[in-house]
Amino acid sequence: MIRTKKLLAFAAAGALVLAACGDDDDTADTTPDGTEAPSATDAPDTTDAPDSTDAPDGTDAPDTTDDAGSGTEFVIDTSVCDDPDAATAQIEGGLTIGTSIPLSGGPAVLFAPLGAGQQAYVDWYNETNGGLNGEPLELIIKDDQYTADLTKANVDELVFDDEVDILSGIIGSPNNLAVQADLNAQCIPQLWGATGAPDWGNIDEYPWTSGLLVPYAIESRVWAEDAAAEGGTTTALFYVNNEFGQSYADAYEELAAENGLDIIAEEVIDPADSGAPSGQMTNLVEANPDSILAVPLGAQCAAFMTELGNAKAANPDFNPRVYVTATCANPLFFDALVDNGGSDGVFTSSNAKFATSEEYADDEGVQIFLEAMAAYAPDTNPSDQSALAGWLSMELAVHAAEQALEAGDFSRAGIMNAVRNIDYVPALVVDGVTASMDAEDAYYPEFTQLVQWDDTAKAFIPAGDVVDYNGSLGTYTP
Amino acid sequence: MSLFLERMVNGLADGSIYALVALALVVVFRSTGQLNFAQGEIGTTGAFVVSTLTLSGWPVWVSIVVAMVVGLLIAASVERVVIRPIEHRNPGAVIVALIGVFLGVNQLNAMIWGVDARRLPSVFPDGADDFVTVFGTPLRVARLGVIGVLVVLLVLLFLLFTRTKIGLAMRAVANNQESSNLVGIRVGGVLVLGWGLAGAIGVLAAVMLAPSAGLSTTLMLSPFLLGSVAAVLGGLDSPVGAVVGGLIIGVTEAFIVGYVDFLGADMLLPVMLVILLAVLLLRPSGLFGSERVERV
Amino acid sequence: MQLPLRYARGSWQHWAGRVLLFGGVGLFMYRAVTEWSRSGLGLLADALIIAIAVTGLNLITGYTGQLSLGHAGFFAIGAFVAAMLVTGKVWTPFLDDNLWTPGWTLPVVAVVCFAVGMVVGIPALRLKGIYLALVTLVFTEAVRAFFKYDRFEGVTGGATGIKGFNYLPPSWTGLDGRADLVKWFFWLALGILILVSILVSGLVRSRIGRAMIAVRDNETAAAVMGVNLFSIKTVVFGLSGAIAGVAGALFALKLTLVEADVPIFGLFGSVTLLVAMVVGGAAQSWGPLVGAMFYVFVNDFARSVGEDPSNAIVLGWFVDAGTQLNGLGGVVFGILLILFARFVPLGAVGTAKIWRAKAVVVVPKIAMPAVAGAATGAGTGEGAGTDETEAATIASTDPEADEAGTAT
Repeated sequence: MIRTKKLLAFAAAGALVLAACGDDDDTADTTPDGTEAPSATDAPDTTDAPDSTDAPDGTDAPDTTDDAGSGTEFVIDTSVCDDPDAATAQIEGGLTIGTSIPLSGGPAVLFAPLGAGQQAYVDWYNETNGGLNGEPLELIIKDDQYTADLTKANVDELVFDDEVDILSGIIGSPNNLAVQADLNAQCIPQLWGATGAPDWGNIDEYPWTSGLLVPYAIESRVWAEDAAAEGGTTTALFYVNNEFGQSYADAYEELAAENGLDIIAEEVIDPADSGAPSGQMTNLVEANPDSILAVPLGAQCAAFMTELGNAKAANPDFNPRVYVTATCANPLFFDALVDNGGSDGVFTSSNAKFATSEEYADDEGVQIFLEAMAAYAPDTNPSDQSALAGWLSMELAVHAAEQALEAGDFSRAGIMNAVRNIDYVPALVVDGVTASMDAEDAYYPEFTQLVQWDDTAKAFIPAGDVVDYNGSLGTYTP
Repeated sequence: MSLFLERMVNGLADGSIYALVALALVVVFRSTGQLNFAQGEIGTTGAFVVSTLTLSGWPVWVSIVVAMVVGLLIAASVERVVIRPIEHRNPGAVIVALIGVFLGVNQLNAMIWGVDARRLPSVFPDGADDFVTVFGTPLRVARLGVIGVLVVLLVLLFLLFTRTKIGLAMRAVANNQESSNLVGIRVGGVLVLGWGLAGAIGVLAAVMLAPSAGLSTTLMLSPFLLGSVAAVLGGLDSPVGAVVGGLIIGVTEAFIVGYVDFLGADMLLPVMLVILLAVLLLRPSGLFGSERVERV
Repeated sequence: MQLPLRYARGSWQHWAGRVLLFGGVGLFMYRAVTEWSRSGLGLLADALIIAIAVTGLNLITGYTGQLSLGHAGFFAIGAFVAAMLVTGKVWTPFLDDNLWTPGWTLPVVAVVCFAVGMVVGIPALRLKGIYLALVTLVFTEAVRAFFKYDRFEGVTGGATGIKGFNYLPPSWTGLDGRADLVKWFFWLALGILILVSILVSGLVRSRIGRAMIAVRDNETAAAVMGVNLFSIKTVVFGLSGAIAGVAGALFALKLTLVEADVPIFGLFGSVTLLVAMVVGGAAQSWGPLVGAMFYVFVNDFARSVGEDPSNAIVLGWFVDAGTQLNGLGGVVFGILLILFARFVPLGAVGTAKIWRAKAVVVVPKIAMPAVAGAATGAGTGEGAGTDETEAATIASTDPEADEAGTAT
């Protein structure tokens, strides 16, 4: 009997290997690539959309105009969807929004305030406007512990069990990437992913996906240009060794070279490392560059600046221009966590207002945000900018839904068209910018502002005009 | 020379944290033969207690003492309430329970104290100017202080184990539980005490680390990993080994960052794997561990 | 009628029991694939993939007694090698663009992980218990660091990892492309799990299997009896690693990307696999499936408790009702693990067997008094009190009885 079993096992093994290897054409990514030439017949009602010039689209050349709405209108192609009818079907009743973010599990839980911001916006919106399309908005938040495979499981639950209409504000690049292909085939809007990876501009392959954060290339450009303008010739990088840090480093290396900066030191820190980066700082002092770009994560932002303060005090010759990424642009990291003056004079950038800063105390949008946070998420610190990011991810999604409703196409396709042709500046982002997308511009926030921390005033002081590169990144082809 | 000294001191200071974690693990291992996966998280809880107390105006050092007592109580009750009731201390089930405690404590910290990072004041002067210059090298007082804490703790532990009745009982139980029972030592109490002691040491490690790094629920994840490597490197039943192991890892880390261009801080663990294998293949029970067969 | 009932091996009652068990599991799987929603089936497919990896771990840790926290390392190697092959990052002479068909990567992954596993097995010759566990843990984290190392970025993708590949069901399956992707991975994982389980249970009852169990129960005695420790440990570590690696490859193909910071590729992953193995029951043929399903579905339940703001009530007046409690899901899962360890210390399958043995015992056909006595002893109350090693020994020294016992 044992022999029979062995034979069976081999037969099964053979069959399985053959079975698994049968098809030669599985490797290539065969996701829909339809949108290069959207056919006019598929276009839903878009008469209300601004400025619909009939320029030929499908060109990959980046749109370099800075004016809003001058690009070609994007029309989503639903014919390649798994179920084209579902994508264009009008949404009955209220809008259900799903999201997947970390609420539990080790380091992941640090991102949780984003969810509080999302919930606060939805609660505030329902309270103020009585909902959308006659019914309150519904937000379903699922916990993925920042693990991409759980994000996938959650999104399946949201789509097939909870039957959400759209997804918005999923955190993390791998998490968004893991569900991107599925959602684009199912034609479910995957909006405002909380990451700045370049992938969200791949409008040809993944038109149903949009990103929330300023792309790394834009920020890197701001820093490289500022460093060069201040007469610096040497620069250094300090970055966290994960997908986020590596993407940043790659972008900065390119833009530093373009601006004639020589990268003379590169130091890394492990994402799990909770110690002070003292050894890395010693090396940076040794190299003594004109400027440093630091890409730390979470509490590492504060640890880096504390070390910077110590190093400056012990080495009077060491006085570089220091930039930290927008993910650190959080009063929490600059003020409460650093008390040796290390954060004084450090630059960062932000495209959002600092809600608890005095500068914006009279700002109407900020007041609404603070009141809503106090009312609906009292346990979350409103000065944590990730709460604000969560708020924005919902505001932008709901704005697109409002636009779709107004245009008379309250369907997933209608919402996606509204997103891809958005021209809307939320109250919480910095003033005086253009924030738009169209067929040739697949990135929404391409504006940011350089700010400098003033440790005496305990506030971020604008260190330059708002820079607006709207349209400059165009679309993304991997 | 000056750079070398700076890197050495930084390495020793980081290593002292790993050594403290390793010491806590060794104390638990000597009493019940287990690796306490929840060691680091109990320490983090203690650090949060210090944070709460100092925010309400208590002096830092008093807060630390209180937090160490809290850590002692938590760890002792983990032994008494979670581990001991498991039939025959079934090794597999104990591991699952300890991972449960790890997860539970880690997430409970997030629930109670929130997820935003906070700053923990140091018991040593820790301003930007608080350094002493030795041979032209600026050495930070707080770093030297951490090393000092380790030395003092080692001396106290030595006195406890060799000069007190409780210490004698702990050594006896570590050596042979049945015989200790026969000579009238309350083995159960001693085991609880061993875990409690480890809990207090774990808190000390966390409050020494947090001021330079910022306090969040993730504080002790990587020090726990490196601390357990230190404990194995030095020998799981040897306090001296734990300290030596911790310092070796700290200095290795500092020197990799400082002197090996093609490796960064992120390549510490591959290097540690090589060192660990080199040491353990020659001495399977670690540098200072006693050669006895442990079954798991 | 006197309990426990005794049936001879191979009797019709014994076969009926087996048919019931396999039929029941088969029916469950059939209903899952036909009636469950896509999300439930996706979770089940995840559980099956983890079960494959746990089967590998069970081989070295459950049956051979070598505590390994290195299996997330093999899992990661499997995932990365598969990703590297399907995206054409490895030069292959006979392929255009070096692009591999996803299915063909599985045997390659098995071979690579077998080789790495043999090497990892060498330290196991000298190290025991926690020492071995920690060294293998450092191996796992070293693998992760290696895949992130920027000098190999061209091949491994570095810290950004590798993305943008896919494994759509081949046309002969009759499955409908992307829409049936989850079904395809369910069938693929189920097929490989069955294959691997047959392989492992065949191995365990072979000469090698008896040597493995001898090494676990008393290494010195085993060596004295002529067991070649070197070959047993390295070969079994290799096999065990190969199985975990194949699971990793499936994981990557299902996820459509690899990135070294995905938690399951590190310490967290090794701990997950170990917990799943112990929860299912060490050295039990059905343990990996039960343990993996426990892990995936109970964790899903715990997270869903944490997702529901109305559960903030557990903290009473400390927080406002309706606040999202960060970490509640983790606390619930932690408590469930502690309770499980306390009340089901031998794992689900191990404990179920003890209970089952109180009612029914399968005895060998030609009843040798000593063996029959041992089997009865294991089942009648006495067994419930023995510690794991003893219970496992009794259960496993006669693997036929072991298997039959579960089946009845």
